[in-house]
Amino acid sequence: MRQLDASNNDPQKNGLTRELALTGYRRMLRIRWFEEEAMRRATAGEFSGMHSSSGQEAAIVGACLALRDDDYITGTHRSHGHPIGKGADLKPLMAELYGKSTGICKGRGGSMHLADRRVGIIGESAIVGGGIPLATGAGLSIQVRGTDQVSLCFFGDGAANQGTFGESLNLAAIWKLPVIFFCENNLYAISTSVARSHGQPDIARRAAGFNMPGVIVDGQDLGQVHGVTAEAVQRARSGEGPTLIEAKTYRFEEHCHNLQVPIAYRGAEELEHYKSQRDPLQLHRALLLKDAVTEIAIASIEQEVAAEVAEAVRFARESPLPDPQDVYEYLFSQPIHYPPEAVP
Amino acid sequence: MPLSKTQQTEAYRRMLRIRRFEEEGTRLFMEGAIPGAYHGSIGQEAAIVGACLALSDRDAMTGTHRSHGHPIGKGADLKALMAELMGKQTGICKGRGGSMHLADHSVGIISESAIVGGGIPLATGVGLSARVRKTDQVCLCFFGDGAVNQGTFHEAINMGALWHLPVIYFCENNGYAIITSLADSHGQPSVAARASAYGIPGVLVDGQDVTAVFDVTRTAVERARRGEGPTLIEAKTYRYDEHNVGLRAPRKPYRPPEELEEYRTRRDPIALFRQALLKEGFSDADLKRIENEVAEAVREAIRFAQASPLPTPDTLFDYMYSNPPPTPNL
Repeated sequence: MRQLDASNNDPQKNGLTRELALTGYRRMLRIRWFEEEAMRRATAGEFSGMHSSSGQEAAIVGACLALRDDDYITGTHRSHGHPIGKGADLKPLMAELYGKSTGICKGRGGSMHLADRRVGIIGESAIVGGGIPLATGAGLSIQVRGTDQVSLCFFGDGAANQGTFGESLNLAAIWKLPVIFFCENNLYAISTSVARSHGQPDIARRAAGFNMPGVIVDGQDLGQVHGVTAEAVQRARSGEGPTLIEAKTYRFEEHCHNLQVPIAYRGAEELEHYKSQRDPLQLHRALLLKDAVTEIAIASIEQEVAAEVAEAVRFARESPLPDPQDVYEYLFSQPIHYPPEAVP
Repeated sequence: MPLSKTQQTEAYRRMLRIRRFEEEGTRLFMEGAIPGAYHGSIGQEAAIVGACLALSDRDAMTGTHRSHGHPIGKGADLKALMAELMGKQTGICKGRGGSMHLADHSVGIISESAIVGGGIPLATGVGLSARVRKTDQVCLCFFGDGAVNQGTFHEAINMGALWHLPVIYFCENNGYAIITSLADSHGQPSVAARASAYGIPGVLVDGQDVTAVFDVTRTAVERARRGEGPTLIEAKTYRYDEHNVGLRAPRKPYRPPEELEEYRTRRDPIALFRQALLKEGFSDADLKRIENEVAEAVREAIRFAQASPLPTPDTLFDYMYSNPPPTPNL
């Protein structure tokens, strides 16, 4: 198991070119502002709940930037960040939150299933640990078809205790599948801390049990995440098999929108510390300025992203809800024809 | 810690009881006297008995589909086991369980489950029960190399480690899950190495050496009783028969004949221990006496099983519920 520290923060060493660093900022900002706006819309009652990725943007985007457009990813119930991180258009995502027919899953999936095929997402599953075998299967498919794609699997610290984790990592290791198992360890499974649920708190250390490399990385540092993921991708593409990456990160919101947790499971100071000192967007913005990117260039990205989010909300609101006549659509690849009286 | 002279005698006796019971059981199965499938433990006796001898009578254990060796290793009477194989009313599960479920509660076995990996969460639950009831019991959990790749292994060992439960996870690694070798199925071929993922000790031991197995299990039991949590033990062992008696593996041989021959002739746990005992001062006559006793106990078990009645159809619905619902009138 390898643990990276502050000495691994050199953007050059992490392969983070100026262009990638700017794309990274844009995508992180899209996630943050998409989530903030969605939270406001949910609070206003425009659609029901959601799981926010605020605070976890560097882990998501850093990993996605190391992938090609034709690489696969699978995600989780906290599903908004993954497609945005992979480069998806915001409009069909926002429309999906509203349950509209223009949504990325035609309004059938909702907040937990923003599976945008166009950016390689084969599934965002709300079943905790459910995406891990799917990503492993995608890796097997790549191997069988003989392409040089890879499959990256996002999952949380809670999922690391599911049996699917053990079963899938073993299969990927024995068959040397091109999979990157990427744990967004935000320290809490709803309100249960890693310390209270994991026999061994470093998830990356579990890699040794499956004979694969395990790496701990600062999930608030875009460059560091990009660097280790690029290394894992390289390893996967060259047929050397999977890697387990644990990005230590933090979520700024509760597990889901409007959740009232009856116990104080995390300290107010801890949250405050992350928000003020370890916010991935602030950290990366400071780095860009240090790297001689002008305030004007950054502000222009910020204006563009704000406009994109506003446009996505406008698009979602104006889109129609699915027609009740279509309720049986998209269930089967060869649709069953229902008798007219069964259709509402 | 070495075995005492009494324990050595008992180790030899129990290993032989497993061997003779399995030999006779195999013969009876081939004759059609035992229904279902028959999974023999011949070759794995030292792993089973070495581990069981490290327990006290009040400790619990769980087993597998290869379920005959575990109760015998823990000291069970042979008669009710043989009767169970034949599906008789006097069987240890009243003829309801058959060969894969020789769960003898009188020696602490809470279950023998034919579900691969199914016993691991059960043993962890027993550990939690011992903790809640504040006893100093431990639970020994037998499973095979195939079960290590089940999700239950991962889930249960994490909990056992997290809560420092008094469980000994004991893998009888006989090299093959039916016909699939570890090299073909395990990303990490060392089962003991998986322990590091959960922050618990992982120990590799020669499963053909009953003294060595006793020694490492004893250490794990003491650790568990002190409240320091579980240990994962991997005993490298070998089964002489196919996965189940009469199984014909359809494709090319999955294990080389020389490998089997090597174990049978040079690595047989009973032959090895017999030599060790002779070297340590046991006389050939001492050992022959044990061998005769065991042969007679197995013969007696067969007589008992054959003379026992089958369950009567009117008891079909018995033993299913602790508060039985009314049964239909047949």
